[in-house]
This record gives sequence, C-alpha cells and structure tokens, in this order.
Amino acid sequence: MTPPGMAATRTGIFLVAASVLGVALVHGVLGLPTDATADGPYARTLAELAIGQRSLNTVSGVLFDLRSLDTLGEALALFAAAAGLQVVLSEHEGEGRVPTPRYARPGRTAPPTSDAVRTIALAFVPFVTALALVVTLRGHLGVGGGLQGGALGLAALALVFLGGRYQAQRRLTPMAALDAEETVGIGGYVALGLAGLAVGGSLLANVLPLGTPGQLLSAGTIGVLSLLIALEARAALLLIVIEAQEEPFERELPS
Amino acid sequence: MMAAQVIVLVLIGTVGTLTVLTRGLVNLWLVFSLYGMLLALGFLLLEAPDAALAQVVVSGIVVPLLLGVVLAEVHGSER
Repeated sequence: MTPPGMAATRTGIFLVAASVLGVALVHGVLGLPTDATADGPYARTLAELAIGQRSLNTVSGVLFDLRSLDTLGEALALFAAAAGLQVVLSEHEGEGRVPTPRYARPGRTAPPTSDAVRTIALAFVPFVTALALVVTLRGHLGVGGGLQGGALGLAALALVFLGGRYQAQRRLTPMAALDAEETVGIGGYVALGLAGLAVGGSLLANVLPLGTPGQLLSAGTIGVLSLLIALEARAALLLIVIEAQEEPFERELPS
Repeated sequence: MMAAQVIVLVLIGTVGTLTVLTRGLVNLWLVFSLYGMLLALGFLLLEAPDAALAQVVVSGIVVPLLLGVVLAEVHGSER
C-alpha cells in the first residue's frame, strides 16, 4: 500500500497540475471561434485544406498533414508502450515458470471453445483482413486511416486466436517480422518527414505529387503516412497483445 | 436524428454509471466493452464517422482483447 505521506504528496501534485491544466483549457476554449457551422471558420479551413492537399477525408488531412508531427508523437507513444512492455514482461533466462497456468489449476474449469465460435471466428478472418486493407489504403479518400486499419489488422489475427488457433496466430506473426514492420512504419514516417524538410523546407511537408482527388494514388504524403502508421500500429498492438498472451498461454515445466 | 441522439446520450450516461458501479473483473470487462460501443454509436450520430471507427477498433477490439488475455491469467488468482 501507498504510505499516507506519499498519497498526500500525490494529491498535491495532482491538484497543482489539474488547476494549471484547467486554467489553460478554459483560456484556450474561450479563445476559439464559436461558429462551428458549415459556413464557419473551421469548415472553411478544412475545405481549403482538403482542396489544397487533394485529400477528400479532412480528418486524414488534419492527422497526416496539418498536425502530422502530433501523429508522429502518438506513434512514438505506441512504439514506446510496446517496447516498454517487452522489457517489463519478457522472460529472462533462469526465470522459473509455474508448471500450470492459473486458469488450468484444479478447481477451475474452463469450457473448451465451441465449434460454433471456432467456425464463425475463422470464417470472418478473410473478410476482416480485406476490410483492414480497404480501411488502410483508402484513409485519404474516406473513413479510415492508419490507426483504424492497423487495429483491424490486429482484429483479423484476434479472430484466429479466438477461433482456438493460438499457435497459428503466432506462426502468422513472427516476432522478427513484427519488429521489422515497426521499424518500417516509424522509420519510414521519420524518413518521409525528413525528406519533407529537405525538399519542402519544413518537417513532414507534403512533397509527393498530389494527383487527382479521389484516386488511390493522390493527396501526396497523406496516404503514404497513413499506410506507415497502419504498419506501426498493427505491429505495436500485436507485440503488446503477444506479450500479454505469452504469460498464460505458453507456460510449461522449466526445462 | 435528434431523438436518436438523446436516446444514445442517455444510454451512454447510464452504461457509463453502470461501468463505474460494476464489481468483478469479468463483468466489468463486458460492461466496459458495451460502453465503448455506445460511445461509437454516439460519435456516429454526431456525424463523426472517423472518430466512431477509431472508437470501435480501440474500444471494441484492442482493449477487450488485451484485457481478456490478461483476465485469462489473473482471474480467480486472488481468492
């Protein structure tokens, strides 16, 4: 338990931080234009952005162009979460393993996965995979984009797992491949950002050809950055889930 | 549209309160997932499909999967 003095300090720090943040939030909100209708300044800005960057999805236009640096920060947070969890939860040599997982101990009965659940889960895998690809690749055209596509990619593998095929799920996602995917995702994002700095004069500037709005290859870097974020998100989320899975699903007698 | 928005907002408030009041990790897991789906429906009705999709994948897939896997290990171990 937390010692009482510590709790008081913690509450104090929270109150200071919360009041500073609260004042900043109220100040910021009061300074915003109040007109949020279709003719207001927000709508005009977004429409100009969509036309300027040839991205029909203004949300992607904001995420991967207007504030693409924020998105890089979020991707790095996900990257750090996956890396941190691996450091904390990874098994070290000589670390004793409990012979049976807690869920399989005497007195605890877990019913096996039913045939209906297995069939339905596995039958949906190809469709969810296709949906993940569509959502990822059309992020600059319609609803979707990096994080959503990546998480749907995780969903496809989650269905393999829920269908009772843990080993198959692990075979489909070798750790080395996930590491490489994360490297390509986050490294590619940074590299494209630096390319924007070199060619366009500002970090993550939209330097690729903009093309025709509505086409798959359009909107310059928005589509590419969205794809890279999808790779990063899928790999990082999978690494986090696998790290949590290894504990209960791979226990065995210490060799 | 307005009526649907009001109904979903009330549901979000109700299930949100239920989430706080629920005891037991497995129950909490189920109620929290339902709460996330209702939030997604709310975003959709407020004409924010991108936010709704993100909410569905995060609160409907990633978080329940992760919590479910962790629960498989932890559940019942503290009795």
